[in-house]
Amino acid sequence: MNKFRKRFEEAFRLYFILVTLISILLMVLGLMFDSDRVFGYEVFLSPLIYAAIGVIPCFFTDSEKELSMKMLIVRRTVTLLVIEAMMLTLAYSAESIPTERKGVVPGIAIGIVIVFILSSVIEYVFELAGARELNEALLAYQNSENDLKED
Amino acid sequence: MKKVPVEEPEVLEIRCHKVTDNIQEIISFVKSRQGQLCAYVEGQSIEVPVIDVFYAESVDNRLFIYTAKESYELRIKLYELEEMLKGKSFLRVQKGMLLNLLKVKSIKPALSGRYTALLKNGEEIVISRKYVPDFRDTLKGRR
Repeated sequence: MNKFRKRFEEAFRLYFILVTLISILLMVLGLMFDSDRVFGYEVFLSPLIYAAIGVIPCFFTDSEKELSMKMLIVRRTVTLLVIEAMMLTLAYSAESIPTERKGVVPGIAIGIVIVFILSSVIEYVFELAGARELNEALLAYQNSENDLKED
Repeated sequence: MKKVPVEEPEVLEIRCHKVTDNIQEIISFVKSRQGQLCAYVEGQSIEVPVIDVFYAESVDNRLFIYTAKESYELRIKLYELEEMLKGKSFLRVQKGMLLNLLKVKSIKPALSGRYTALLKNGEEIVISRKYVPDFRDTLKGRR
């Protein structure tokens, strides 16, 4: 239960990172390829749906097994390819996305890669903050253990 | 067991027909309580102070301890060593590894919820995500 909860919390955090990044990506791609189009309020749902799809692989690829750095990179690459395939399938099936226009599909594909890398960078920044906290706790722990030995 | 007056030294004597693995385990336990580990290098027995151990790793069912520059084999299991070193700043950081927290210089992220511990001898040890909560709780005195 705890394992599931932890995974869910991580996915939840990633979800909101993706919502933000996908909103920016949609704005950039929209301005580049379809700047004249006018949308209704339902368009605000798009980043929420795309982010939900982007989070799905988390639940299938994140095992507890120890992975080497090489295996981790392979796994991340496979995850990226799965997300690319899912998003492009969605783009082709959605009438609102003009996939017939030259440049739209590569634009989406590159955008997904950028969002994927940025989400990893943001995750790393969070972990960096965690490491800073751990380093402070480690120093305090070592000082207290050394004090005990001196006593 | 025989009680002795305080002026007499405390002695532990083991009388046996043969030094079996069980006897060896008892010897290891007693020595670990005295701050020593009974290790082996090229078949020769050697005593290694616990405070010199950076980490212990189980490889192919054999247990090794690592000091700043040397490695030695122990003839016990990792869980037995973990039990012996309870309360001595050693913590499980991977399925087959115990790390001496006093030998860690710093910690940095290693992607995917894992961390890397940079040791005082320059080696790097990965703290797997499964053990990160325990690691954090120990450092913060919640364990």
